[in-house]
Amino acid sequence: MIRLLTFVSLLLLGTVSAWAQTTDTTPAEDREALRKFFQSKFPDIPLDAYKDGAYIFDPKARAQFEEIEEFPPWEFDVEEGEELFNTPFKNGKTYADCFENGGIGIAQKYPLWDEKRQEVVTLPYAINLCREANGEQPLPYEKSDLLKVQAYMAYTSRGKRIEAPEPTGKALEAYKKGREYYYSKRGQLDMTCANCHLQHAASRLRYELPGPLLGQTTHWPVYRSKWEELGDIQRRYKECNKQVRAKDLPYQAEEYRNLQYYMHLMDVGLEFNGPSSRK
Amino acid sequence: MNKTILMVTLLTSLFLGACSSGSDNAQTPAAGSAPPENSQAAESARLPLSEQAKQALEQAIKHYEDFARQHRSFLWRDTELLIAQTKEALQKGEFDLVLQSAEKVEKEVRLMQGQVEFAKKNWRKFMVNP
Repeated sequence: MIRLLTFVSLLLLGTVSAWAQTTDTTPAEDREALRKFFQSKFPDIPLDAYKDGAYIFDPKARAQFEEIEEFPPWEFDVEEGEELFNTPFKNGKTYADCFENGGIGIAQKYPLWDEKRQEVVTLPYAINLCREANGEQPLPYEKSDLLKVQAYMAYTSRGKRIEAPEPTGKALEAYKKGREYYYSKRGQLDMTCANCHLQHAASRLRYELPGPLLGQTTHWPVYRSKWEELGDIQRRYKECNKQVRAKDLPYQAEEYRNLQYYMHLMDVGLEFNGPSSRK
Repeated sequence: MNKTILMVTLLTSLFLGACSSGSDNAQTPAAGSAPPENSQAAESARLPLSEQAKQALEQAIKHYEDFARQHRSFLWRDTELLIAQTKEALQKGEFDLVLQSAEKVEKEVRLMQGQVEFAKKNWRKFMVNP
């Protein structure tokens, strides 16, 4: 009898374990688990602080960051961005005509799932879609006025909370693809994004402290001292790819947009504080 | 009770071990039938070195491009550079180097393929699971 019971228990245990591996989790569950992970790893750091990335782990770097933010290097870009944002296209319309609420205070909602296009749309991508819809040429995603417009739009969202509806259907599929990208090994160094930004968040990688996954999407576009200019999160994706000796993808590739969507959904509820500055 | 649990665990391990070695055996080619790669290699070895090098490079490029079409997000940064260098070596007539480099490209494609397979089965291992 005891043997039979033991055998049945083991069988049940195996079945439950197999079920747990095949049953997928929802974005809300993933988000909750991620927050619990960071809160148990760094119990002294409040959830809202994660918007400042790796600076929460290094008081000296944080002090420098706060000094920089007093006279932020992105300030002129925001001013120019506002001018560009309000300059009419050749057809007389402006960027404001393309966006909800005239494009003001909406950056915290991006990237979002676009039901009509059936794809994830990031803010720079949406800016270029707006240009094309109004007969203008799309702008390059790096070193261009597009980043200034994005910086201005981000500035109008400062202090708002990251928001996104819980995805279903194809949006959920895009989320899952982005999530799988984050946790897949790639490049000659055979590394996942999670190796640096989850497992080794707050550990030194040479001199640098990798920012934690939580809060990685709250502050873009960013003026990086290394770049000496504004850049978007996808420029950082490209850099990460290169650093692990993987081939980077083009800006706004579907894979990058899905990845950004996954990361955005992990940050829902955190304060949006873009544009910002980083080392 | 403890003995019973120990026995069941042991039997389960033996059973799993047998399954695992069985699946390994399933991948082994049947005795007496030479794998197709070997016959291809033997045929290739009869060719002049320049022709062997050219064929090896073409084959490696084909494998790389086939992989790239399906899995562009798993490509490695330097493989295209290696292919370009191998092409140069072919033009210079450095056939031994071409053969070595073509083999390296093939190896890299196999490793990239391995990452794709690993991602399919194991990506959740790195995630914080609820």
